[in-house]
Amino acid sequence: MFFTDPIFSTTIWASSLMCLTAALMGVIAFLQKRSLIGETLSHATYPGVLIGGWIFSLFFADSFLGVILGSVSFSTAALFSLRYLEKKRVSQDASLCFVLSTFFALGVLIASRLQTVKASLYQQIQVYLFGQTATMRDEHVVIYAGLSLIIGAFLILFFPRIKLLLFDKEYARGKLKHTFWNSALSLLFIVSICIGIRTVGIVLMSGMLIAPAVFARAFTNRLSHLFLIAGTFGAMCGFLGNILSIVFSLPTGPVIALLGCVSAVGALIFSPKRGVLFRTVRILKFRLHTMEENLLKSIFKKEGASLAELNDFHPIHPYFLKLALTRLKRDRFLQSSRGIYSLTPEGNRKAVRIIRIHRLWEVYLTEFMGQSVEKVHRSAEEMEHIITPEIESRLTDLLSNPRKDPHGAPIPGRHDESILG
Amino acid sequence: MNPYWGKDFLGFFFTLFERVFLFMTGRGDALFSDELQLLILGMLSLSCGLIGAFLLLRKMSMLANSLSHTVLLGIVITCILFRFADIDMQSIDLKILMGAALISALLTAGLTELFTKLLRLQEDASIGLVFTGLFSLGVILVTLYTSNSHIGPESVMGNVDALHISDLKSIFFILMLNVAAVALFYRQFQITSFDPVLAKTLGISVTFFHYLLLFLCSATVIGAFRAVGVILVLAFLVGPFLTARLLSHKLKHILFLSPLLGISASLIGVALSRHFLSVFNMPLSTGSIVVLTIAAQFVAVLTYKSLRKSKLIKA
Repeated sequence: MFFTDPIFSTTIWASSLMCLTAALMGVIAFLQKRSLIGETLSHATYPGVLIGGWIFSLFFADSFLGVILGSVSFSTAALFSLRYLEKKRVSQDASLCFVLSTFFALGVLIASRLQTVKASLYQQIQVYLFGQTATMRDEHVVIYAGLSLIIGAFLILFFPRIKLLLFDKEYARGKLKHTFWNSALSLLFIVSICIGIRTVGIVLMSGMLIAPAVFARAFTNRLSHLFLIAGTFGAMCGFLGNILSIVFSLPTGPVIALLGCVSAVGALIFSPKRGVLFRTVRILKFRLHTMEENLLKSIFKKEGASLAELNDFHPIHPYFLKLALTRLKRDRFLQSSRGIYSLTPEGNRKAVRIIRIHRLWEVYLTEFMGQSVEKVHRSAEEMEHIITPEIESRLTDLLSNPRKDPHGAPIPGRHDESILG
Repeated sequence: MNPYWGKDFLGFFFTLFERVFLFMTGRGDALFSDELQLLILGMLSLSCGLIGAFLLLRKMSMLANSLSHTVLLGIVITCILFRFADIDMQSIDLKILMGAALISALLTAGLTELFTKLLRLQEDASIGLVFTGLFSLGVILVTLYTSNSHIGPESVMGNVDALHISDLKSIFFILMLNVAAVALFYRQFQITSFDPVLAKTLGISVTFFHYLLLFLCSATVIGAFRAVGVILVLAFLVGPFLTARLLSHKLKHILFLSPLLGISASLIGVALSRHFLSVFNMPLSTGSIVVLTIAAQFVAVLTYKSLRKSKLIKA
């Protein structure tokens, strides 16, 4: 029913478009590691929104254009103040905080005056604090959508230049009109904020700048994909947030921002490439793999061992020990009879190979890296689980197939099944 | 009858001196609203000046910005935990205050750290993500719980005129907390701020004092909640320190100067607000005037310093 309802349909689409724009510009700020600047610039729009709205309301029936102009100019002023403070060597976090609250204080001062002079206008303008979509009129929708499209078009048209600006600053500084492009990007950033505050609100605007970028970054390394994913995600947050806020009659901005933040955190946890969940699984798998190979080694050296003996040697939780042993048995490297684990021929070969790699690496470290003999064991303990057969054969060639390791112990040949002294 | 009624800027100070004299000689009567505002803003500046210095030295001011947003969620959660039928923002009692301060400090700092360390997110983005998420959750919960859509804007803007004598109590308590903490742990704070490695070798837990500072900060923000709102309090934390930093390089001087600057800004701000009301018949937000005064102090000192540097003014 929300899709067909004429009041909501256009405004919701416009609102999604506004969030999309914010998401795109947010990606740029995110890559410059300056995400928090959006927080300051959005709060700085508050006095602009009030003054612009107020002045325009004296001359026109609709104060809407004044709000945009005012917010853009005050936000720009805040940006210049930040630059000035940076020149004066005020640390960045302090200047962000200070400019933010000073500009906001100016807004609160003006608001307190407006409240007594023009209470109705004050009420209208207060919606910019937390955002409201439903009260947008058709001409507003057109202007907001138009501005969003302009920003989107700019990003698509000048994509290669933006890429250069973001990733190759040194080159950009020399070759391109560096200041011009940077100012253009800053202006677009500000405009996207000033558009976005209508639907997300001044206080939570920075959420809509940051969340889509974080979300997209969890899935891709490519800039073009980053823009695509962040933009789509931003638009979806705007769309769903609006609908949810209507259904539960909640303020629009917080719903959109919460939606964005929660999904971004979800992406950080569950994304297949960079998500923490899959990373942890990968790490645990590797640990288990290392554990298994170490167990093979110690059973090989002891020529069979019981669970208790193994646990003495590998002080880990018995559960993990049993897990590793079960997996080894499943892979036919181990067999057990009456509580004593011993190696199968296959397990024997594997254990010998691990020892071979360990000793090869020790030779490599002493001969080619100039490490002293006492120090090489620890590194070899780690490398023996990592080195692939290709690297093994390269090492053999490089070291001209050595027979003794630095400690004097024999190195088994590639196809040996035991270590002969 | 409020004796400050109709007084202009200078008249305000004369009346104030007169009233202080009366109080000193034991002939004072009830506090009037201007004095209440002055006391609360003054104590707030004192608290903020003390902990603001340490916050800024550790480059934690954006974390303070986060806290200023997340205390709303802290308050809501505490109120729900204490099973109050409705959240009454008119009076925040000490129990709720301490609970909320603890919860919001732990949530904000803990989550931000979790995001940077475990989820490997860059720091600026984790700060932004945490506080916007928690703040929007706070606003939504407040709206659902109280079906009052005004709390959000009120918490952001604050209102000095709606202050009550009970606010004086809570802000006094917070001031005492801050003073006690800084007096007791001055050296620990100093060492952990300037030389975390030395602190570690001396056996001072950097993490503990990090969280203690965050707790103090969130308690102070909550104390400021009703008076100036959660955003303007940032200026109280940051502004006087920046000005004091221009004037001195010694921590002890800064710790003395920044509360002083804050208090003087509060005095000027309250007087200006009264002046505008009396002379131009304009009721203005006192909190924002104080913040703008703090900003003006900074700009004035900065200009003076630059002029002296360019030899336009002889030292």
